[in-house]
Amino acid sequence: MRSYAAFEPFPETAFLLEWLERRYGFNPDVFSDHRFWYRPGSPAVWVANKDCEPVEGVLLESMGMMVTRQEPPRGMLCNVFVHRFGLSATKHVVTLSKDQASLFLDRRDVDLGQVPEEQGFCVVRTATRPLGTGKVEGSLLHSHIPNSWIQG
Amino acid sequence: MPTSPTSLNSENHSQIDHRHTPDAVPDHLRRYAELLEDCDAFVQAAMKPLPRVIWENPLRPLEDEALFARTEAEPVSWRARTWRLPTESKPGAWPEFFLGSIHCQEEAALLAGDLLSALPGEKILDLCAAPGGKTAQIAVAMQDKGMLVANEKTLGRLPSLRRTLDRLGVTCAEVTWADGARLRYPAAFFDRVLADVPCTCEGTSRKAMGRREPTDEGYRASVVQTQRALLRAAIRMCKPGGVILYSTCTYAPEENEGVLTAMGDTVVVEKVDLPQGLKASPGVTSFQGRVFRQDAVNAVRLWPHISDTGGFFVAKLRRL
Repeated sequence: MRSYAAFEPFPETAFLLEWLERRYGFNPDVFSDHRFWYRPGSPAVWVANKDCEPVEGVLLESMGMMVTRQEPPRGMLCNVFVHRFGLSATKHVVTLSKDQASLFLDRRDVDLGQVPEEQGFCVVRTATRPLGTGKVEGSLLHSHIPNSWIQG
Repeated sequence: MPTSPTSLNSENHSQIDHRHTPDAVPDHLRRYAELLEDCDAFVQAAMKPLPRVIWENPLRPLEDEALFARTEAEPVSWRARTWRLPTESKPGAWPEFFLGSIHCQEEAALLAGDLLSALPGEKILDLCAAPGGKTAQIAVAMQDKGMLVANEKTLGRLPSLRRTLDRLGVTCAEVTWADGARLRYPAAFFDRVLADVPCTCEGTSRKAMGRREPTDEGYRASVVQTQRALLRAAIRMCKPGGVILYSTCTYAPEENEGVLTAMGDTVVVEKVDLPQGLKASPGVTSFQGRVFRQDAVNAVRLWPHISDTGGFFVAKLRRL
């Protein structure tokens, strides 16, 4: 028996958009075609196309994609969210070379060669493509690519 | 240890799976001889290895041509930005797959997702969605705008469905876990419905190189009941004038034209406009003494010796 609640509109969308802009530099217009959702009792926040609606009597397993597993401003952005929207981020962004990107996707730490000003969770990308979520500690970038994403 | 998505030289041609060497002719497939001009060619083709097929995700296009340097890739003649790869290829281990630029799907199955002709902003239901290849095709056709409900009955198949949609960057999909025949959306709610129903999977013999067991007729009879219930539910939830696409990966007319016939005058079977370059046979109106609805000829059936794909059946229904 499933115990979680039905999806409801996220009540603090303004705060979420402000946090995404302040922390990661996302222009709120990036999400103008989307709405944010949550399940009461769960800290995760989801984003779905604005036309998506729950229908009474139908329990949804998921709605669009997850933004964060923890309620902002805690936690980090989910990799799926970064893959979809990461190119629009302008703060806490680490841009990697092709060789560094290979290491990052291999779930290995990347030595950035210098200590970036913006430490902590970040959006990792190449010049043209978001790669996922990482964490900067000193000059090291830790990969947060899920092990389960790597298929044999 | 998992293979890294960045192991660009992961194609090891010496590691071909030799279990694929056929040693038995799938004679049970000869039950379809009355539908074919050359049954021997069909049976032989049903044992040939099936090429892997990848398609580019327009929501996240390929950045470079790196994957084409990694393996042979032959464009699929009837579909844009789609390629056949050698059977032993493992595109699931490539960075392009991991980053959502490509998806791997059986060539015949691509037809169902395409023929639904989804449009941005519509409400669409995929009744039996996992592992999500056709669902992803629909989301791409919708340009990720609208509402796409992806339903799956089997709990263990939900993660693969979620993973496909997440990896390809789809935000217009809602995933439900329910028996499709009992899904509780209001009547006439959806603009289009894809009913890619469970079947006896005889058309997938090329994946197993002809080593599939003959179909149990008792199981066939039971799966036909499931197919009818699912198609009835699909028709109920589709708007009048809306499109329902019925598909299976089996040749059996009982599971295809027979199920369409059981729907009576709630739908008409419309002519399928096949993409240029893809060859298929029309639906049939009789098989082993059973007679089916006359407009079933508008459906299409893919045969391995005609289209060089797996076996597949597609019918485009218009709800009355």
